[in-house]
Amino acid sequence: MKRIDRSLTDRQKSRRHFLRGAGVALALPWMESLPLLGAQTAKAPAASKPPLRFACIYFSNGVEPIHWWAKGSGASMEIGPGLLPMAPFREDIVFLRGLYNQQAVASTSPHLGRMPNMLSGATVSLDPSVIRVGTTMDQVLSQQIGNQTAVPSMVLGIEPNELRLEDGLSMIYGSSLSWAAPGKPATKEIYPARAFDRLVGDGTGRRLDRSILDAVRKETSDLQPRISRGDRRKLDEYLESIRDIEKRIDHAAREERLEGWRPSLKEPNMPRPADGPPQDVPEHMKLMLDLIVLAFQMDKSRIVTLMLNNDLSQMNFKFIKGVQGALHLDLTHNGKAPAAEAMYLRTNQYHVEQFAYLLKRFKEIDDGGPSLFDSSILLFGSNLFDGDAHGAGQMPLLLAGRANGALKTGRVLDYLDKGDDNRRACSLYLSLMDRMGVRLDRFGDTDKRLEHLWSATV
Amino acid sequence: MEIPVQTAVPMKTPRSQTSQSYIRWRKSTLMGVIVLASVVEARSNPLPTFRQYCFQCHGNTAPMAGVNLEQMTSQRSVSDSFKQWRNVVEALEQKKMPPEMMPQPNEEDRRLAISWVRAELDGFAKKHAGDPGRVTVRRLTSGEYGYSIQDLTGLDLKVDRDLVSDEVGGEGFSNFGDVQFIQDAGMERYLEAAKRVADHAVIGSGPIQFFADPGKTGFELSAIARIRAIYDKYGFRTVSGEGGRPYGLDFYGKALYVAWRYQHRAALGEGNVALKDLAAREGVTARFAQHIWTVLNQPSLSYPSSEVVARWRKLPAPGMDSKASATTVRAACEEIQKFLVTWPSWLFARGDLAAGGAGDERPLEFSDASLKVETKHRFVFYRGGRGGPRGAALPTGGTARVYVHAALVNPNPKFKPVILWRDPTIQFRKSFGRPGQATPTLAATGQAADTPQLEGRPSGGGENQPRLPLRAVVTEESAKKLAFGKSPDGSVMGPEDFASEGSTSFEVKLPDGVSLFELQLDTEVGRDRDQVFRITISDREDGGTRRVPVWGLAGDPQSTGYKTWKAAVLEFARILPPNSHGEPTPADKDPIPEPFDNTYNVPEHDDFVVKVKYIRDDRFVVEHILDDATRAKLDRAWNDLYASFEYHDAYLRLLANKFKLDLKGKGIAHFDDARIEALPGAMRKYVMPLRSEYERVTAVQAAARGHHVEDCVRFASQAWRRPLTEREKLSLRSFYTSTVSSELDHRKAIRALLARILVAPAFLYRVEPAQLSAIRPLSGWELAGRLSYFLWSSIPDEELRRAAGAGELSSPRQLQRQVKRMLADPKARRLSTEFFGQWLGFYRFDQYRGVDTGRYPEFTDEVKAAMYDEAVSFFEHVIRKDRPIREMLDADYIFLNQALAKHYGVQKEIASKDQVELVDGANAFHRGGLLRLGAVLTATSAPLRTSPVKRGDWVLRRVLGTAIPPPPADAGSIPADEKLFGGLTLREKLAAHQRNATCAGCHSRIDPLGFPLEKYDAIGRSRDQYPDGKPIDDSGVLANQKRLSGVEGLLDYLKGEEKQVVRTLAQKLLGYALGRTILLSDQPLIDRLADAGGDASVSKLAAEIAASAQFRNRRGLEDSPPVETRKSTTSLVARKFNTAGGE
Repeated sequence: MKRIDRSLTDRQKSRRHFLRGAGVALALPWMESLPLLGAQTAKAPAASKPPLRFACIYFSNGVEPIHWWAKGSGASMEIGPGLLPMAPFREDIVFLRGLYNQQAVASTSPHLGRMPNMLSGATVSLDPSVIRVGTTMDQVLSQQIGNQTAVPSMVLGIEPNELRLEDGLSMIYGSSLSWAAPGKPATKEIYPARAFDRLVGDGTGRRLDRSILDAVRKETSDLQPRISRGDRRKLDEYLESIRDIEKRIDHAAREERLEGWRPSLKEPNMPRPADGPPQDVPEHMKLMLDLIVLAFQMDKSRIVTLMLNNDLSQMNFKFIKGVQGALHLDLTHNGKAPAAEAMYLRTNQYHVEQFAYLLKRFKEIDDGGPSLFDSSILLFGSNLFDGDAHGAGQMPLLLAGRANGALKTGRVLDYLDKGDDNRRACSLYLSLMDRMGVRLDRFGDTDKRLEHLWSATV
Repeated sequence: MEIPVQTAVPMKTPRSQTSQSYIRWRKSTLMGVIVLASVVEARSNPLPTFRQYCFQCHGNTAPMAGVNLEQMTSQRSVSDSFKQWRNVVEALEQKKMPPEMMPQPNEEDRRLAISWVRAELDGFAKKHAGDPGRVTVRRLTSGEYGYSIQDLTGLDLKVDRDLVSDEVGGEGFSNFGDVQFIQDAGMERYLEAAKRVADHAVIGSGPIQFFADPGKTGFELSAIARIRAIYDKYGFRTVSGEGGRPYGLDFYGKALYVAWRYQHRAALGEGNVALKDLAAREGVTARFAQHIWTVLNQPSLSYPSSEVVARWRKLPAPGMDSKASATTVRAACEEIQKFLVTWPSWLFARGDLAAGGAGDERPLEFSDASLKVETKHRFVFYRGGRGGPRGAALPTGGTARVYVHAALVNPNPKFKPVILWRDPTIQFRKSFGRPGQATPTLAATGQAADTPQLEGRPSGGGENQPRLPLRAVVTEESAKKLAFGKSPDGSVMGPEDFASEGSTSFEVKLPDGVSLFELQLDTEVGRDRDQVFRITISDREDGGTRRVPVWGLAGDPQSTGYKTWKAAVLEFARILPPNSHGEPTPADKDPIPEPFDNTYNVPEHDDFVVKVKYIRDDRFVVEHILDDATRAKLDRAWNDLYASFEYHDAYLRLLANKFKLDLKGKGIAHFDDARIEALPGAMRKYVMPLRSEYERVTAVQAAARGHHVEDCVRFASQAWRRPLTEREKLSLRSFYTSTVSSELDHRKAIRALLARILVAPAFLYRVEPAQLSAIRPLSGWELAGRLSYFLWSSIPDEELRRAAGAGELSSPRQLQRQVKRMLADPKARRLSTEFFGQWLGFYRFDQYRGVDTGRYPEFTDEVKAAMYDEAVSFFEHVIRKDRPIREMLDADYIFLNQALAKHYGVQKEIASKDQVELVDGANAFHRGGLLRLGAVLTATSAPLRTSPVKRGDWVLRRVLGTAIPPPPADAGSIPADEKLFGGLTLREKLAAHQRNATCAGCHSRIDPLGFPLEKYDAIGRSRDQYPDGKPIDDSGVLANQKRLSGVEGLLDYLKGEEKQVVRTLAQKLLGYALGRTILLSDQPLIDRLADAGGDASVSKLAAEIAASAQFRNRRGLEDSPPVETRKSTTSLVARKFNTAGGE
């Protein structure tokens, strides 16, 4: 690896720092051009078509393998029972078969070693005193192009972080799909009201906040030389988070689109959700999905992840008729009892229904000509395939959205027998990031793009 | 990059290692060291043994149970993986490893390997004992943040809930710095919370304090609350308007008694005692005692004041038995007090006299209006009361007695008072409808029934009944008594009129089916008009009523007698008032000041009540009760109240309305002397004092501003847990200055300053600066912080700050004293919540959602909350009462409230409905101790059934501190619901564990510890059988074939393992106290703590920890342990055995 140029700015250093952490190898000239990237996009006169958005909807504990399959293409595509709610959307999805993460398979920890690395392909540290995975692809996007919108990225969830150790490992692993840095999970928002405020509160009128943050930032910098190396790293996180807010305040204060494409929605078209967590899981999930739509439609953010449940989820599915018990302990590990298996299938379908709802809404929304669906890439899936057996040999994944014409939907892409090197999930992420405008040479366990993904014409 | 010399034991790629070990690895490789073992031939080298017998399963490729001996033997020291090394050595000692079916090392090799590992472990532990270890700077956890804010503001603002998400790490606690992340979204929440807290600051004329309501409203309400608090504590009231209750009146009795003691101080044997000391002894203020003493020594007072003095003077002098005299006199003083406070109520015939006039909504005031007399009155009396009778219907038919009272307000035995009752008429009624609109006027004026203006006659059945002369409807006997047409003083009388000397009564004959009537009569004072009468009409002999009385004062307003009397009453009201003050927020019927219309329900009155809102009327309490300091506080509170909104402008607008002046939108600030001078004279009189009060308020508020900044500096020092540097003080002050110059608002700037203090790293993080040198002792302030966050999860209190400032904490004895003190404090409950909760898994159980409430509707939120309270209160008790640790297991008591007792089926009288209370003899009903806590039993169950595996795992891991490897990825599972077991019991289902060798290794240790709890169901209730009626076998068989039968068996077993339980507690407590993982170098301390055994108390362990080297020191700029000087660079095994060729 090349030496770091001492003259680099803080900003560049931290970018370098994060890229290194993400296991990314890149050439310096590209990196130096990074600071310009955001500015160029903002000024580009060609920005007359809608920007591309990315969302990943995650559900935990995998699926029942025999129910998760798809064959054929277009309207004649056949799908397994687990995918039943996708029936009306067969022409809108790409069924991905056989993608996997090398490091997940290799981990000795059946759950926590295979989940927080879903979007990074990194190794999960099993040392109880070191929390470390890898920067996830959504956060790479957030850090690279997130400055184009008021909220760089949204990290949403339904279940709170669990405060316990699971086999000696912190449950922060099981609660975090998105990682802002290898050692730092992105803050997950589970309260719809706060997510709403983050989107709608426009950052103006925050002069006083700005001066408060300014003052404590200076104070922290003064402190830095007098504390230990490890402490400094922790306070760096604090400093970084202050800088991020300050940047956002400044950004919001001058946000004004002069020309080209404009979001089709200026004011939120949904009421502010009530404070606190909704009591009811279905309502909670729906609100979060609606907030994704709102974020994209108002163009407040273009990158979102949503965890429908945590790994090792305690979520009780009794809200589905005929289903009883907790997702992980009772339903996933169902002892192959037929009644319990049937309930597990219902939970799989329930998760798919959430995705179906999102597709329906995306297709309905006019995004200034095309629909929101046309200008989005939506990824849906889980880190395990066979949930009961903790099978990480492949992941159940669906893609949807037309990626501004780049993605031809209504297809089944089967990579399972194409060789391990050609079926890496990180290849998919590299391809997705390319399309979003962030080109990395390498990510996670690969430097290869996923084959056959994009339409040749684009 | 340098290429490391190839090692016999290949390293993992550095990227996958932690940065720590990466650095170490680099160091070792940079020095070009050969990590080796291949050449080792020495017989004592255990490496070949490990390689031959262990690496196959525990090598770099897919290490089983996560134990990688290949990697462990290549590490620099056993300390890196010491917990695993301990498992390894135990497995070797107990011959659990290698597994039976695998090749075994010979005894000698096994022994050598064991003794090598043991020696390495012990050697390292001894050598580095007390090493502070790496403690990463800790951010306050949500809990700590909440408690700190609570202790800083005195308010539970609930800012902690879901503030930032916590994560756990280290020994399983959320206070472990390494897993505390922060991002912009989290920072936003801190900022939001800080601003919320700052919004609760009361920034007025006094020092900054915090109030439950935020912002402008909070400012106003806090002022009222402070005013009320002073009035309530020092003042008294006979009645206080609607719903008011008398209070504080015993001050009179006490002051009278004080005066008596003072009078007879010589006789009572304390000739030199000061009045103020006697006052303090009785709990009255010196000023009030002085006032009463002065009144009692005043020579010329009139009735009723004179009556009080006279009665006091009649108190007996102290007798031989001074104690008995004191008791007698006390009682007598209470009698005088009773007269004193009930006389005004008697005069105005207010409410329930015995209860000090309670229940009467009329304001009790002495004024020209309330003391007005008339020679002639008209009274209307409704039998059964205006608006109809309440309660049981009155009897119909028969007779009804009416009392017409005419009492002299000045007792005067020589005088025969004559009252003439003219034109009395009766109208019988079947019922009285609801009174009309005008009725309240009667109540509002207080003066009953000068009826001309009374239009709202009760309507309803029989309005058109004839009005009959009284004479026609009274009994014969009454007619004779009343002697119609004649008067004893010879006044001219009509034929229907009668006269009485004082009070009289008569009986009315009721027609059949009628119980109600309206009596109307006019009164006139008799011939001698130099007296004042109090007239009431009532159906009670004592003249009282619980309703609005029919009452009036009769007399000649021109007479000297009346004028003298009125002066005497006003004097009484001034020196011995029934109320020491008016309420700051007067009830809507209370009088409003001049020049406004005092009539109830007129626009002007309403306007005043709604817009001006507050009246200060507390002359007496200020002049005669409060000491100077309290007066100043009261003045500040009033000042704040006036400043909390546009009080003076509202007042001015009302005056302008009254005097028909157009203010043209100008407020009080506009009215300088010249402009006030130009106002119409009538109005000027009121604007002048208003303006000067406004100026005073403004000036006082302005004067306080400078102090507020200093208050904030002090607040910062509290929040930041140390004295501030000059530079920090300067920075805070200049932050204020620059904010106030840009925002032009003092309060806004102060709030911003407070928020800034609360988002500062010095508050959010527990920063302990490092120095260049490696290990340094913590300063007193740092120690105070560690101690208070360890034991209280919050900032140090005054006493701890004092001790820190005085440098006391460097003394272990003082440290111990503080620990004892702090653990006895109520705040030690937080150690139960935070530490025991996280250790034993009932943390935030009040939000637990793992129960299927469809199956278990009994598991209500109430039961859940009570279970949480049960668990927290249990450990709180053990901590604060300094109970032996052993009791955590075998306590024979439990904490219950009614709901929880019902849930558990405990047949015992429980008093408390909400908070749990200690109940003894719990073992008799199968409860007590940590094993049987409802929260624990529930949290270790599945939503629909119990889980012996979870429970056994809980006992093994949490209580016994034994590490269990995670189940393999392909482990099977059993159904969620015991209904799905197909006729098998849970035990039969789990029996599969024993048959499968992969499972048996662990489950033979886990399951026997879980089954003994089977007689407690999934929501913590004890039970005798499974829901399907199958019997419960609650025994477990340990690997050594020892049988544990039921919870008692498990308890016995754990008592046998007491040392291990104590060791686990000690280790967890240490990890929690330090906020890091346990190190090998902590072993000697943990051994020492464990040696204390089950007799030790939590405070003993905590004190030992507080006094330990690891607690009182910290590492320097480099966090990692010092590099070993001796052969520091070789790998663990190599170093030991390859001294010859390695370097």
